[in-house]
Amino acid sequence: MTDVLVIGAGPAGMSAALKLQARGLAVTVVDDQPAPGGRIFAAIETRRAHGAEDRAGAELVTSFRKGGGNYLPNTEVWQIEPGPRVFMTREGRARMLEPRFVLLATGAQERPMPFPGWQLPGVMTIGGAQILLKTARQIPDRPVWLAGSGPLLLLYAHQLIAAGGSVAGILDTTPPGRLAASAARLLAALGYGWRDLLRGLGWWLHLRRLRTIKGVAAIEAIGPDRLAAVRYTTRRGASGEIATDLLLVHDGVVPGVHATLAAGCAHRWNSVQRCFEPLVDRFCASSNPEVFVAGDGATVAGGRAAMLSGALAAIGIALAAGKLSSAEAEAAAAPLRRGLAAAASFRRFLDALYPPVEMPIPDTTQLCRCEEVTARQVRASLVGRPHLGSDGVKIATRAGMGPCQGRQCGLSLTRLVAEVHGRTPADIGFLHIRPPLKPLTLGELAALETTP
Amino acid sequence: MIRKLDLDGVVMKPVTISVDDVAISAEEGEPIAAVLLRVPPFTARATPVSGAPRAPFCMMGVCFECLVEIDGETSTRSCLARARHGMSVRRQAARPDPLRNMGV
Amino acid sequence: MTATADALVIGGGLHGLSAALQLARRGASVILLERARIGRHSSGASAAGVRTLSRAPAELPISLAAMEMWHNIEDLVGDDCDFRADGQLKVAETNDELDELRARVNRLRQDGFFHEEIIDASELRELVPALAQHFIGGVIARRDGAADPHRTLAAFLRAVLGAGVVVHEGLGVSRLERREGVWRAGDGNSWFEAPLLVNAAGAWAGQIAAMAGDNIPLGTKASMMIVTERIAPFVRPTVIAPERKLSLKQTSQGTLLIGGGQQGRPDLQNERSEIDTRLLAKAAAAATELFPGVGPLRIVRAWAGLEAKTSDNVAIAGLSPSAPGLMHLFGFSGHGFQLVPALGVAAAELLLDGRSSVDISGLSPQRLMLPKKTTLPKPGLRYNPGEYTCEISDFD
Repeated sequence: MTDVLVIGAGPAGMSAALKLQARGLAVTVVDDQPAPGGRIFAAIETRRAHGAEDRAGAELVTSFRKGGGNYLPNTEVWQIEPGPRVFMTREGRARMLEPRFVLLATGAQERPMPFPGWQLPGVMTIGGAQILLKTARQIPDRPVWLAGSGPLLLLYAHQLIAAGGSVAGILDTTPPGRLAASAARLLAALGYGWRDLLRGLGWWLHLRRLRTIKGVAAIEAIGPDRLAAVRYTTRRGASGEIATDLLLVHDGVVPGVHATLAAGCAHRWNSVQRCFEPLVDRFCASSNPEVFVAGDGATVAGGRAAMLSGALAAIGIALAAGKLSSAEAEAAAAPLRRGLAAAASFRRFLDALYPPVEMPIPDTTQLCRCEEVTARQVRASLVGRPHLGSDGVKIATRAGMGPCQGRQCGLSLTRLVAEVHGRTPADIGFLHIRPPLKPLTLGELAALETTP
Repeated sequence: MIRKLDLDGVVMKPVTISVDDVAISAEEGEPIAAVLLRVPPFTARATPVSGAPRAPFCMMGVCFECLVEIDGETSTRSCLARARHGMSVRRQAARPDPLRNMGV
Repeated sequence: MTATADALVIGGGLHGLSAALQLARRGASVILLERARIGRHSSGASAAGVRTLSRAPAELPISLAAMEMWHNIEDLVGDDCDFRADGQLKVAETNDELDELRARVNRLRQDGFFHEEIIDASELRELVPALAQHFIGGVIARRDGAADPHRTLAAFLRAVLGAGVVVHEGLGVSRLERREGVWRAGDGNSWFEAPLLVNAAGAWAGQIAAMAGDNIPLGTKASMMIVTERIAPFVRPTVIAPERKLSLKQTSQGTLLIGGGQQGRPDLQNERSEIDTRLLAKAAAAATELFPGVGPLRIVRAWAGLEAKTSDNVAIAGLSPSAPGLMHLFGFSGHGFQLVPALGVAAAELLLDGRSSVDISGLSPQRLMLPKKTTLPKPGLRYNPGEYTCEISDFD
């Protein structure tokens, strides 16, 4: 009998599981990867730990293996019904679990960055390249071009060079004036993030000698069947074409909201990070009192904040389960909340330094990769239909109907619809997410086991 | 396009898998998508909509570009599948065809 | 602000669009009022079965008339709506089932209906090679088939706009009254007036009817559907097995669409339905039993619709016996799609001429009407967890 089902064995999930088990709750942790660690500590048990954060992650994983409850890797959750009743697939078999509480710690994903030709083989995300490095020790075998903006771009460039790879150049889409804009937030950020800032500064200095084309406003990947070149234009009107067969792209990180949307949780639009986030209270409870959300899946704040957030959610769940009093919970939560507030200050600095870029989306862009629907088709479906939202566009064009179910196009759809209607993304909302969250087979569903 | 780094003190068990009937060396537990990215033509599939070639993109299971057939199971995300000795991987060029599999 | 027309249509699903189209083509000025967006609920979640097969006798005349229109749908709305007449087929597993089907076909023939035909095991094998081998026969309507619901919606909307109908989306009718020979419908900000009114408000039509003074009990269905990834050609006719609560077809995109009646949880108040996963598993199980090859196929998504159901599962189409100039057009109980083209004609004929050229007396609102109530209905119908058949409840 599971008291708490934790979905996700990254830093938030692992921290929560340890704390919950320590308070006497029966915890089951499920994760779609073969080993714990999430993205940031992916494959931490089989690779060399680099730096203090990695070492902390390795320790967390070790503790988690010992005391984190019943851990089920290679398990995918595909539906969360009221109850809560959670449906998942493991080893080809679909099962149902009825815990008292669910903690969603499913983390973030990269913000979709659509541009003409982004679907060509040879274009990959920086996050994807990083996972390749961590889980398979693979790097590009020749100098690679990076395009986009954000700390992850710097981090990967640094990691790549440290691993013996090489960066041919950077197409930097960061808007101008960011240093000035972020200076005001620097002081507040120092307390929490001075080590990160120093590290970041170190990367930046090291990478300054890389060829960087600044102020890039638009890019286009040229095929026809796989990437052969990248065309770019800058805000100043300069343009160029670079021959390359590998381009790594990045425009920030956003919470993955499919699980929280499917679970019926309320969300809000974060207008600074330009993404949807589940609404959570001071104990990480969502609008659904049995569903808690921790880590980057609640708001993107990095690995250390995720650990604090997981611990806070554990307190919230323990309180809801009657394992501690309100006073005890508030006392235990106080230092965690202080840590999270400090993390938030650092985040605000980073947001000012690297705001989401959201390049304009030309008509020829394949907005929905799965169903190969262009931005032109999306815009055409909105003509004369002021009440048509993302779901209406989906019905009219098939955008969002493919296997990824809007993970790669949902945010862009919302943005386009908002632009055409002259409204805000908050007004438009996100696609209506329907089960299954992962593409289980008919056979697996047919054999659903409902008894434990 | 992609190359493997040296072992760097990490212990990995070598295994042999087949990719479109060609024997390929891999490391036990590495993502199949990583293998595909070092085996020409470095793609995973052709889309069922237009037949355009696609390659792994996000490496974390949220883009669904890396779909291949693994040990007979079609439309499997290769970034989540881990190499095991004897695994058979086929790039997915056509739509799944259950009628043909039934021998009809 | 007040806008006037010859006719108002409440409800922007396919039936509302069809009625608006036919009224406009007869020269009436028409305003259509839709609370959310065109095709938001039942029409947009439809399996788009174009089916005369297995219909109740009361629906047969209008269904057969509609089938003729489907075979010329491009003339009607300028688009073939991806209608493919690959047939609809109800399969039998046992001799008893087959005997029942035979008995029905004989009765139909006696009544002059020849659209249903019994087929034997060998023709079944030929028509549906993917079907499990133990099925022994079935009944087929060869001119039946399926269309694309979204293309159909888009085509009807284009035709309606082309005919000069004024369509208001995002306009939910919350007030309705009849004053000085004219219907007045409003949302609190604007009023719309016309002597003629079509109530095509889908799952909310009972509420509209009540506002007009007609007490017609209406239940809610939330039939669930599964769509798979795109696959190679697998099945041509639509195959139904009602006792198994299964219907399966392959769309033009190559996806398999699996439905047939397993119910999700409707929430009329909040205008949405939720999947019941354990019952969805039963639908998947039925699919894999009838079509053994489909087990390995990936489910891309599932949904539950939100539509009206009458106590006898037969549609309501006819003039209100009490309120003048009001055409009721709702309660399609999960099988309204095919009737769309012909019922629009019937609506226009009844409102403008007082009679319909096709006999739809079996669909009259009177047969289900209850005595007038003095209080207005409470909005919404509640679904009781644990009850998987929908309740028909009166408003109290």
